[in-house]
Amino acid sequence: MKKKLLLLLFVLVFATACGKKKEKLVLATEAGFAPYEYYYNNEIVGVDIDIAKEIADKLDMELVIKDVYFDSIITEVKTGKSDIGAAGISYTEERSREVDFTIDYMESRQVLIVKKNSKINSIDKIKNGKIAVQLGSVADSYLTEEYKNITVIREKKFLAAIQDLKDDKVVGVVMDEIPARELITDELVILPDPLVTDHYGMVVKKGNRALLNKINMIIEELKETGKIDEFLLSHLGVKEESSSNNLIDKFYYSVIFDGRYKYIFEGLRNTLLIALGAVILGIILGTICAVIRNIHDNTGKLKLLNILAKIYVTVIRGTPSILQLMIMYYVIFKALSVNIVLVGILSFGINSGAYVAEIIRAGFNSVDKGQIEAGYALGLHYSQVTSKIVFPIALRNILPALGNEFITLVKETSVGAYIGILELTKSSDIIASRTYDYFFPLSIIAIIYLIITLVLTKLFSIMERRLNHARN
Amino acid sequence: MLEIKNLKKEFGSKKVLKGINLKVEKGDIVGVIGPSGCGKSTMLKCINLLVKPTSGHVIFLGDDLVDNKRFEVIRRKIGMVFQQFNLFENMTVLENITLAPTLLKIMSKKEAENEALALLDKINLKDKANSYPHELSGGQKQRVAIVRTLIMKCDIILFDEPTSALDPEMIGEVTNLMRQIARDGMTMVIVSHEINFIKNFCTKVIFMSDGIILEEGSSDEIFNHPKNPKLINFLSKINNI
Repeated sequence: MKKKLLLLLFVLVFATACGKKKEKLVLATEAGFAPYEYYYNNEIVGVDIDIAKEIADKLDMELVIKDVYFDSIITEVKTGKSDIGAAGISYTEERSREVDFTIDYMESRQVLIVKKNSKINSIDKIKNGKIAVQLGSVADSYLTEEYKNITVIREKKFLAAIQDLKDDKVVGVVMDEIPARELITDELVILPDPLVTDHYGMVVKKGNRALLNKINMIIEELKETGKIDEFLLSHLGVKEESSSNNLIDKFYYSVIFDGRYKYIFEGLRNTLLIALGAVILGIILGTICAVIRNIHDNTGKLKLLNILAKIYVTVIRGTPSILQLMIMYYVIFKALSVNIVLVGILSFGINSGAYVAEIIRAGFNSVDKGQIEAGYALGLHYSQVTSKIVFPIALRNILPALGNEFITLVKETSVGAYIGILELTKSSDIIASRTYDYFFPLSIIAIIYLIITLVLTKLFSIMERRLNHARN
Repeated sequence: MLEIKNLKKEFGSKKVLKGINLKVEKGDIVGVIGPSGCGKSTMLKCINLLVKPTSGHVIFLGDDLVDNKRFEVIRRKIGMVFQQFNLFENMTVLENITLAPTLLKIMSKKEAENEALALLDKINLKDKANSYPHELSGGQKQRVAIVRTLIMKCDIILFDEPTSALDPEMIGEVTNLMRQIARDGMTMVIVSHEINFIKNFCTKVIFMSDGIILEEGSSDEIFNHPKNPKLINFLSKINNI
């Protein structure tokens, strides 16, 4: 049984690893930065994407776009998970130590956005105030270096930074000018003088001179023929129409318009897929561990396996699941191109297994010793006592804890976005990056999570009732 | 039938049994009495190896159970009845009785069920066959527990304080069943605080104190003519109640 499952797993891994025709050019970006990269019509489009398409065409490769967090892009490229990174990445010394930059293809000006009624007309006016930026962006390092008196609030997404400004949590936002134009609303204003001017480049893995040279040539050609300006023009002014505060409009733009429900469906599908896969894997691993430890505690056998099981439980429970996910993806599966959903299932399954192991072990220990003795006294073997008496009684005792673990697991999968999985939470991010409004997408996703949880709770209470018919 | 030779048991540094020697013949009803903590229950559990003896021998029908790889097979013929009944809470009365004979392939499921129903009929609990343990009274539970050993066609039954967890009005139904089984020729070893029951029922009584057997004899010898001062003291305390 164990062997078969292992085999199945390997087949799955290799089936996803092999079987490509045209070579793939994997682009890491963070779609949510119009006009450079953003979701439109269920596709990631933008200036950077147009350029990347040209590159892929000229190299006769198939372009594959991966939407990850901005601060993961460098890691993606560095580890070889992606071939190129493009997300309006400004050239900095620090970044160029990690990856190689292409020639720049766009000049960008970092500007300060404030509220219209704000008295601030220059960054130098801000004394001991708070300014929001996107984590890892040029604005982040610039402000941190140059304006020590300013408290820098680092948001995962610059949309969240804008939201901070709208909510008066900060007095300003510093970011690239062109995307800023795309997303400011009536209550916000961009101060005309740029704080600093920098240049965007694409990034490739350090030392990959061949690819770098080819890309440089292509970018050079695009710049000379004025193609890049064309790209930029075609993507300007795609700003959302939903400036109205009407709830029905907001709902329309969050869910219906542009087929946005599709993101939610795909997110839901991936979330359920990962959760289900991880639950199954977690139960298998957890049961194996608990049985090993139980055999060891009762018979003294399996010393080595018992130690391994203990280490597994300790290490997994002692580290955050997001770290495990990133290690799984960027370290263990570094060289293999594996389906990210599969990586998610593996990582969350291994994580859950450690908790399930402890839950089942506690369940085993909760079984009345007298009934176990009675089983032995009748001449039953350890395996018979365990399978017919200990396990069924333990299962009944642990069902509530197990249900709790699975509910936690479903919600935990939301960190899958860190390695680029489009799961439920990410789908709300995508929608918010287009509507520039968090309220509706987040509320919808919250309700969906709640429904999943309620269904799970109901399922477990039905199971509990079925098992409990034999209980006082 | 059963012979215990120099049986010792230590839990860590605590010596619970300090060398027990006992012979039980077929048809014997052996009562074991003694103050709490003297090792009565441990001795009983050492007989069927629920507790592994530190040293000594337990010879049952010619086989030494200690360090015997076949002890699980031999053990089937040694029934045990516990103070807390220990019925499997996840199974019905019928499943409790048929589990071991079917799992160990002694009988087919059908045979085991028929046999179990016949036994339940004898103790007037046939209508409870599909009830769960928690739906039974203490006395009913203990009678089912006894039947669970009978279906194994055991040669001896060990009773570990079979009535001490029962309400007084239920003690009778359990002791009556025990008398009935004894009449059919069953060999028994009974650890109990029910002195009157031991006195009237047992063919042989042993008095244990501090991990050893201090006195052994017929019921009349032990209760009416005790010799060991500790036994005299023990009996006087009981009679004072």
